[in-house]
Amino acid sequence: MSLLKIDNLKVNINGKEILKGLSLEVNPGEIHAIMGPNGSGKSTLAGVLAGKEDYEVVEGTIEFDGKNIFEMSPEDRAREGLFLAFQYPIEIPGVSNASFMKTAVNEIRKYRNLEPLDAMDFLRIMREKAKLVEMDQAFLNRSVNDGFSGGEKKRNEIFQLAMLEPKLAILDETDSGLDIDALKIVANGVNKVRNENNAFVVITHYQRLLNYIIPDFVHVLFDGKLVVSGGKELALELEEKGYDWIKKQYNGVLV
Amino acid sequence: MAIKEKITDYFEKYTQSLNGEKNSYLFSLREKSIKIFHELGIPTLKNEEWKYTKLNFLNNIDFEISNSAPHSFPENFKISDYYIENFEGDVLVFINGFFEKKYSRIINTEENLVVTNLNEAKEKYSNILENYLTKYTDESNNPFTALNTALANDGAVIILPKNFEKELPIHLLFINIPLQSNLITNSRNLIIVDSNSKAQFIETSYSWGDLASFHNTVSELYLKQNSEVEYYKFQNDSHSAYYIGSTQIHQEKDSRLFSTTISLAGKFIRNNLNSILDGENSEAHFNGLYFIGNEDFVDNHTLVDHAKPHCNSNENYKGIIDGKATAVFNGKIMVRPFAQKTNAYQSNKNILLSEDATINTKPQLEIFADDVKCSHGATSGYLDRDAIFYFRARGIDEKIAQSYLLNSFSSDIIETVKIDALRDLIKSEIAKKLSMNELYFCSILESNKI
Repeated sequence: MSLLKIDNLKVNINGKEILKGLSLEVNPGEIHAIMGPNGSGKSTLAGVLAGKEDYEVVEGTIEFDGKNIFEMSPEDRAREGLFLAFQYPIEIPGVSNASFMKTAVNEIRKYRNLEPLDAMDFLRIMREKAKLVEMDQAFLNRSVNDGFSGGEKKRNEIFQLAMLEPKLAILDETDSGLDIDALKIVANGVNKVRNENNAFVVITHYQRLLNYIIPDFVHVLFDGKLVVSGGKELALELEEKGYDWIKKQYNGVLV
Repeated sequence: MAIKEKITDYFEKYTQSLNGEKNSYLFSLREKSIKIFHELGIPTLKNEEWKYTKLNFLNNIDFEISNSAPHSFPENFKISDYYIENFEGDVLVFINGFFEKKYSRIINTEENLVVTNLNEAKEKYSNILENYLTKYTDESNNPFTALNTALANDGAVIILPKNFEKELPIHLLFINIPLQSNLITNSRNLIIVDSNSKAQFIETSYSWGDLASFHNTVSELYLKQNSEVEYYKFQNDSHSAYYIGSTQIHQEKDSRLFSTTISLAGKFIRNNLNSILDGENSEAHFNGLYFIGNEDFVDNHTLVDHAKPHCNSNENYKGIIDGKATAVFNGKIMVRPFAQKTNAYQSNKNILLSEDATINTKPQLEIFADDVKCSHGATSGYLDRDAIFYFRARGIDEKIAQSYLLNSFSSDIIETVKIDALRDLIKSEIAKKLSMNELYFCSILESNKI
């Protein structure tokens, strides 16, 4: 059974069609990259999956782990094992990373009928995971994303990913605004977390990140649909030729 | 009978019952004040100082003026419910406006230290009362201060000698127990902290039962040179509680005032907090948090009067307003012509939790000096939807997310309370409001506890 099955998804924002019949299947162990020019609907896809309220689903279905995602609240999607790494992580002054993650982990455990982690275990796991993204102890006591640099915010997203151990992670332009060092740290973190049971959907404008997180499949999202799919070599082709040939080839044909 | 006539009548009768006391200084103050009260009357919404503050309860409820403490307590009344757990310090208890020695605790008995009540002090310290009472209060334009002076039953009188550095927390506890009728009490406190001394004061007022209580309280605080005072008000009263409290502070050179007002419940609350910075290098810190719901009403009117140069004031009030509650904040900063090099800062931030909640916030700056730094800001809005979504996307439901955000919003004000027992009480009461087991505070100290 596939982990994620999107079928003919049509989504509007404020009455405007953004996704126009998108289909995608993701199996455990796979990494899918979704590439596309600005305005093609990449972030809308991420938002719809996570359960953001601003979208109107007009048609189509999404099954996550066999369940209809539209019947689940955003928190239940997270508890079921869906994770969105935000393009623009939110700053929450006054709530520490440690406290935020402890609440998240234990809420998810409660949903799965597991005992809450005790303070010692939690602290140990948290330190371990922080190392994956090369964050030090002090960072755990800092307020969530408050005053973080762009790179720190993205590393924090991957740290949270590592803490929550989702079945499916959607990385929404995690590479945007990162210098090469931060990019490597983030990619490294992802590679350490990936295994045969989980899956990733990596949404990106550029091929750069895919040098470090090697995708099994690359899809091009254009004008609300996936218009081309291929292996990792498709990303290189896009890098070389840009998106113009996609626009030329598919404009008018599919719209 | 309208409240104004009722009070004037009461004063007539009260006067007739007096004998020798008529010649006292205090009585002359009373006579003067009842006249002012009569002239001013109950303010209407046309009065700028009471623009958003409806006082019609005064005429809608049939109040009697308290003239004695009850002979016995009602069965379900437990005085211990009103003490602050683990509080180490003096507690002065006033029931229906009168000092109750039996339920009070005065453990500080150092020489030259005065911790007593107004009725006791009338004779023993009459010269001090003459020198200080009403010296800076707003009798002439606030009818409730005038009413208080005219009818004050009792109150705390605390005089700290010079160089008294021992930490001395004192809790002033006012409980109204209306048994036969709705009740008005007028409590008057006088606190003098002499040079180089330090003290901490807590004021709380409670109302027992379903009959209405109107606490009309005035506190006068005098901070002599280089003294330091922490002054706390904690308000968590019932649906039958009406409260108007004025605190008038006078600060000499190098004195430091730290005030925190926390209002969590009460049918009607009006706090006037005024400080005159009347000596160079004095500083006043006003902090406040109101977190109210139901149909409660809280009004904080503050005034920092920079009368001398080189003084600092720092004001930070925050509000969380739920249900059909209404809050008012009016922060006035006055900088007198000679008060150069003044630093004055003011901030008022509000979060509305419901569409029926109301906030009226108004900064009022009157600056007559040219070399000053003043800033102010006021905001009001709803909780950040994006922040709540971020929590939800991590598996945390909306209710908990909201609690976290409100917790972090209010934590800097709560942390200004330096008396542990009081802060613990405030934290646990706020946690109850947020349906949390305990409050979380984002500091390294607390994070170690996770």
